Amino acid sequence: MTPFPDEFVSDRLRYERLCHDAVDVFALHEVYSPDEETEDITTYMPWDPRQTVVETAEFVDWCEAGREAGEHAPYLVRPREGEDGAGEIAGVTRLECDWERRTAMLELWLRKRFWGRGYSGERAGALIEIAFEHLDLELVSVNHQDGNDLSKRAIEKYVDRFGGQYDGLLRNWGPRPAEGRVVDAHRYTITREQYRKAIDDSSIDRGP
Amino acid sequence: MSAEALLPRTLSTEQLALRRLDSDAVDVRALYDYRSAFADSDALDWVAESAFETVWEAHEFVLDAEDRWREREGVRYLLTTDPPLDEVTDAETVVGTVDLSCEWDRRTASVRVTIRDGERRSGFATEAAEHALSLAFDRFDLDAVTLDHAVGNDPARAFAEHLVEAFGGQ
Repeated sequence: MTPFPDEFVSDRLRYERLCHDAVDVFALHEVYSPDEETEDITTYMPWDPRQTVVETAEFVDWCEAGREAGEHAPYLVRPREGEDGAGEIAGVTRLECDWERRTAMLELWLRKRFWGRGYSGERAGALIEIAFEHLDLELVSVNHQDGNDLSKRAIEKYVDRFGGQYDGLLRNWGPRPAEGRVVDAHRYTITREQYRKAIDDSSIDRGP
Repeated sequence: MSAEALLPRTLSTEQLALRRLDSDAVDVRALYDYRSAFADSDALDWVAESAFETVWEAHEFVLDAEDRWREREGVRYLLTTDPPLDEVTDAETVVGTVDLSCEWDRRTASVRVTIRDGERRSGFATEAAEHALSLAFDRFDLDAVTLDHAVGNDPARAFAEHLVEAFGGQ
């Protein structure tokens, strides 16, 4: 049993620990296998569509091992009842922990039909609360690849809402071996103090 | 004999519940908070135990404790004032820990009691230590129990002396 919650919810979304027990690997492979959609989604992502179900199974192994080692907590994101596509896998999010740096890094990808609903911000609010209030970390960071304007807008919105800042451009940050290049990334951070102040000041709910 | 049979999971004394520290025993965040509370008080000079740096460190501490009793090297109990709980979730209910380390080939165990600042004069330390002594002598049939305290740690020395005197040791 690790300090990461097995499952939790936000207003419109449910988060389940990504592990072999929680998801049928063939169902997960459906959303990871190569097609027009995943090619599109991964344009600005650090991963490529998974060619075979074995690759997807190995990804789940990696999720489980990293969680046991305290490196990250990966979750399946599913819309809750009442949402269009309720119960489906809308995407995957991870809270990556760098304990020595007291820092959590957020990651998310969503299937295209779930874009534009404000899910990214809602999910960020839930993970940030876990990072600060449950895991007692000091800093949350998030990156997006240079040129990924949709992620940029979503990130700017919630970083601003929680009182964080834009740190700058990280040049040659993300290796993309399959494409034979290394990409630049933009980094944003929110401190625990900024987060608590933003929550106190506005009494905002932690949703979108 | 299995480690499970060798070392009981819960024990009760007059005022205290002892819960063997393993991953089912305590919410890691509660343990982390308990040790953080220690760091803010002078309880640190009782036995050297510092706050956990991270929640993950608290988690690893629990895994280590679990390995230790599985290997029959020793056991640590959380002390709470509640009845023996399935899982300790509130740091406020933890008043301390008692630790028994067994050196089977020397027929000896060492006992360490840590009581949270503010709970010292409640007789908790003595009760916890008596139970550890009973485990060592009555259950494990060992020949000797040792108590250490840091040089200059006067409250710990006074407690060790009190206990040794009460049980006719030296």
